[in-house]
Amino acid sequence: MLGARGVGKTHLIKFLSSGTIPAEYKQTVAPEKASARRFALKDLDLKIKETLDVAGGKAAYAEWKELHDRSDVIFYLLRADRLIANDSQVESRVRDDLRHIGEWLEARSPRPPFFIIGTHCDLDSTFSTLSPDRVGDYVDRFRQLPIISELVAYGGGAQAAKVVLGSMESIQNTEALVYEIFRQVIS
Amino acid sequence: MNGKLVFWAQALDNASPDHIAFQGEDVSPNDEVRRQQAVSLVSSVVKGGTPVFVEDGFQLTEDGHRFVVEVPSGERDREGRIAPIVCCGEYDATVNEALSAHVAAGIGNFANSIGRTTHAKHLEMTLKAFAALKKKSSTRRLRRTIGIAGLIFGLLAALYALFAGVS
Repeated sequence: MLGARGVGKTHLIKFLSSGTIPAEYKQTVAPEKASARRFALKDLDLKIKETLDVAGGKAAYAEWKELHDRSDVIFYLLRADRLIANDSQVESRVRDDLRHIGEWLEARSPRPPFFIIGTHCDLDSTFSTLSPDRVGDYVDRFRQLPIISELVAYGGGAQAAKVVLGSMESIQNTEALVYEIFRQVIS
Repeated sequence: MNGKLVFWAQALDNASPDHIAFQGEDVSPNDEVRRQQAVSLVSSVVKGGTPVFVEDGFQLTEDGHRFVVEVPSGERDREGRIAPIVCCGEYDATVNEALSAHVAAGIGNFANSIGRTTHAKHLEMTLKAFAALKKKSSTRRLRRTIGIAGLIFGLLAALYALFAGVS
């Protein structure tokens, strides 16, 4: 689970390793161990290995690489709402991150599955009013953003880098996002 | 005691570079090598170590003679999250009051230097955490001493039996 600061790495790791979401949030400075867990989510039987919740600052790139190199699946989280709002600072950061991750992915054989996960969609007014049957169109429009096309290219192209969007503002939404991610992992 | 400590805190705006001080000096945001060294040092202690003291957001993790202390600062980041300060260090032989006082003072000074505050109770907790570390370290030393003494005793007993059998 990689991504800049405040994108939701700790939230997602906590959900996967315990089934709960944090009662109170804190910045992840020193890394934190997350335990392994097996659980059922609808029709999915998920076996989550022990992992590490790492800091999101650029100073942690060496830690990111180490984690990347021993992971079965790589999830890169980013603030979808900020990219939709054309936040240039966020664009610059995700571009830098994907340049590194792209090189690490390239060096692995076989290449591990790679997912770009856009979080905080609830903060985008369009997403919050979407009916379930229109979510696909929303994801397609997101994929067409120039910055996302660029990130997907760094990640090895559309076949290698999947894009999933969602919100984690409640445990139900987190569960829905996790289901969608793992549904694509096994597809 | 090795007096060299590493301090690390994330920026409150979650966009500016992290604050890192390595061996008494602020590490420039452009010095990527030393920044990653500092972060890797902290990570290696957490990955290989075990938490010795966890209370009220305060945590001390130990790995051999190295430790990582995490203290919540008085401020929150832009997202409203607790913003901790991390200190990593090493001690030569024993854990004593001077070490805990040195770490507590170091955290306070680092917090001041980056415009943060620490609660008095967290500085008190540093002393409490190092007392727990001292106890664990003493127990480990005692076990090692007993183990060595047992080994020597066993060796002497075997030699005695050998020589008693020969004569």
